Amino acid sequence: MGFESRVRALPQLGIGVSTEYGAHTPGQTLDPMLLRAQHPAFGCFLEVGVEIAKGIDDDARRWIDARHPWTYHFLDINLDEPEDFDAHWMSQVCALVDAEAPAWLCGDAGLWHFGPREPENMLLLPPLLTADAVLPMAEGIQRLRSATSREVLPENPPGTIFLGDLHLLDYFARVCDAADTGMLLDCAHLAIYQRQHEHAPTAGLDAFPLDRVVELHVAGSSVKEHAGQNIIEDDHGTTVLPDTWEIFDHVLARAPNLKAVVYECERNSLEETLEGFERVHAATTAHRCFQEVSP
Amino acid sequence: MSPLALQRMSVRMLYDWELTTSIYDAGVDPILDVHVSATAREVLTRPARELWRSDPYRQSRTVTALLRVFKSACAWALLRTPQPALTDFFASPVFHSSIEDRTSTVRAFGRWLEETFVGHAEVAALARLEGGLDDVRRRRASSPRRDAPRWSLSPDARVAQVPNGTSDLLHATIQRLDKHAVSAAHAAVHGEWEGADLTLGAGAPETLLLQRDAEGGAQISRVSAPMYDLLAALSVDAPLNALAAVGAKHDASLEDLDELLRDLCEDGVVVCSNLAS
Repeated sequence: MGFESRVRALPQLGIGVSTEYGAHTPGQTLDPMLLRAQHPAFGCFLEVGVEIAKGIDDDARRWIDARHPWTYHFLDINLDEPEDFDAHWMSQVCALVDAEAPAWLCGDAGLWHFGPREPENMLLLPPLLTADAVLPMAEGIQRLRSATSREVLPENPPGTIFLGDLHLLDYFARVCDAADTGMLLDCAHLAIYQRQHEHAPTAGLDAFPLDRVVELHVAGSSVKEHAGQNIIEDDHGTTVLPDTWEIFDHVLARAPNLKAVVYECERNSLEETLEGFERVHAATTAHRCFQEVSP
Repeated sequence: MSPLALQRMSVRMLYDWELTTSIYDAGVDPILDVHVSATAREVLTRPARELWRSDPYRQSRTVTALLRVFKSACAWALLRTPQPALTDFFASPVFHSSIEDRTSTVRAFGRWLEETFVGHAEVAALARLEGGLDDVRRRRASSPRRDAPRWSLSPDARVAQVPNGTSDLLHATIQRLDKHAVSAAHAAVHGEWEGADLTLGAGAPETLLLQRDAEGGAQISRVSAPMYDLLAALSVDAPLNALAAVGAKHDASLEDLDELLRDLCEDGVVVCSNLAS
């Protein structure tokens, strides 16, 4: 079955929030269950960042056990590196997916670790943006999709250094085509890339197949100066760059298969995050997104 | 260079500014002594050079993680000599080779400690022991699995031969580091612990069995020299005739050896694969 058919079968999740192991500090940072209870429209689903070695923390476990919708955001697979699909990791992922039924899998399509999957080797680098790097990435996506029987949505990673002669959107358009997959477009990560390359925020989007966009991310960023260079950090704070909102609004109006938006703000207090959620909610309502979703 | 090779080179450049400078200025990888192709160099040098060192904490984050594994060895290294710094690891061939070969950074750091602090017996001894303990905690394979029938050491076990007194020194060092009010790593890095009265022994080397425990930690026990020889042979996946030779060296018959291996198998020290019962 091709992507066009498969994407119709995916559930509309609406607006959600992200978490990862240990992200929630009681009384200080966002409690996804509390968000859902107090602002149901902002907590329709939870995107859980998963490192198989760490597992799922108590907060994510409570959410999943309550049978609320969730998505599995991997944090530990180099999709373009065949050696990374070792039998132990694959069996653990498949067991988790089978047992807990995430709506889909997604995650940054980049280098999560160098060498073997050990804590000392963890980082996140964007993929090499060249034509010959497309197929290995596509094959990894197909492999994981086949093994888990779930959609696997590659996400454009953040970065300070992007290597290769393709525009990031051109690379991911090719990956989506070669893997026949949808994609998670991170608006904040794209804003970082565009600024780094002195492009306008929405440059390249007109040529990008926006029907492949199934999920969007919005997140805060901060700008730092290093040796005369402006470095944008994807810090998941609540200060969202205007560029990020511009990309978000542009894509929202043109992505017919959009099923979910995550506002990544997991390490901030509920009060600090409300303005961002309201902004996302207003935009999705204006564009009549997620009309099937009832939190 | 393949996309994967370029990725690995980019990781190395992120950790090693001297390598980055050499690639930009000369297209040479001085650590592995190779010229980078013009195409690869063009890809690698397109970003502004300074961007490669825009994360000033990359090395220290990794060292902090490595300190958790090699707490005692690092404490002794820093106590014995201010140079080399632990971050010099990132300029070493062993680090760069580990990235190219996709092998463990932890193991590479252990080897670097042993080689770099060879004149400081405590550091080298403790690095070997702490590296072995980490191997069993993480169940790293000691040797590649083969299809042929084999007795081999369990992934939950390792053997180590270290200078006399190393296990006691490890125990005493950790006890003192762990007493620090901030953290053991802080004590190690800032030299805020007392080690002057601790020392290695002078007798025969210790032969140790390291085993993963039920909680995911690791335990140390002493084994006899003949047992060490046997377990060491098993750790390199030695064929049966080589095991028999080890047995014969210690006056054990084939029947004795078979019985011993089966006992070790029951204890979880040894595993057998593809062996007819």
